[in-house]
Amino acid sequence: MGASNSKHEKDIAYIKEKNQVESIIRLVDVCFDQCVNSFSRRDLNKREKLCTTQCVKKFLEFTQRIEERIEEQSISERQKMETRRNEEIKKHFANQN
Amino acid sequence: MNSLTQQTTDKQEQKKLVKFFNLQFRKMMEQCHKKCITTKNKGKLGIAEKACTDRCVIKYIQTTAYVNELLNSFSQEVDQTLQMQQQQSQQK
Repeated sequence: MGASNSKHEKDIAYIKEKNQVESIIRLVDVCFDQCVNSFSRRDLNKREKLCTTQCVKKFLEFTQRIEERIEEQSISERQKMETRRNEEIKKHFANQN
Repeated sequence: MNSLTQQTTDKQEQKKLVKFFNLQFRKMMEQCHKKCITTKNKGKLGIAEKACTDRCVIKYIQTTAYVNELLNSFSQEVDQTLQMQQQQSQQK
């Protein structure tokens, strides 16, 4: 039981890490698309770096906001389920009496 | 960790790196094609397209490094803020 649990934990950790890595790759792609449009020089210039910084900040805020909304939704779903379950229990005992 | 589990872990790490680079390579190719390959009729790369492609690859890799730097420095800021908050609450 212990061995399959730890494999399960590893699988979950792997999925989370993969998700994080893919998010970063997407982030780079989005910011490159928005910020780097001229190729007359080899190096990133100040404007491009500034644009990238702002792009990254915005993306992080965006990700955080999504996580907050998801958490809110899952809490409210759980509360609904509890309320429903409590009402079923009450009905059950009311029927018995 | 004995050498067998070390080997398995190393193989897994290798797989991760390869997947990461593959994905990044595809995205880089899409971006640089979109931004640099402008003519459709000729059968080979023009001089401008060649230069653009070279610089695009370099800039994409630089952007990746820069974004990773930013993410590291942001997470350090968060850690520092958390540390300061902890210290403040301990002082009260």
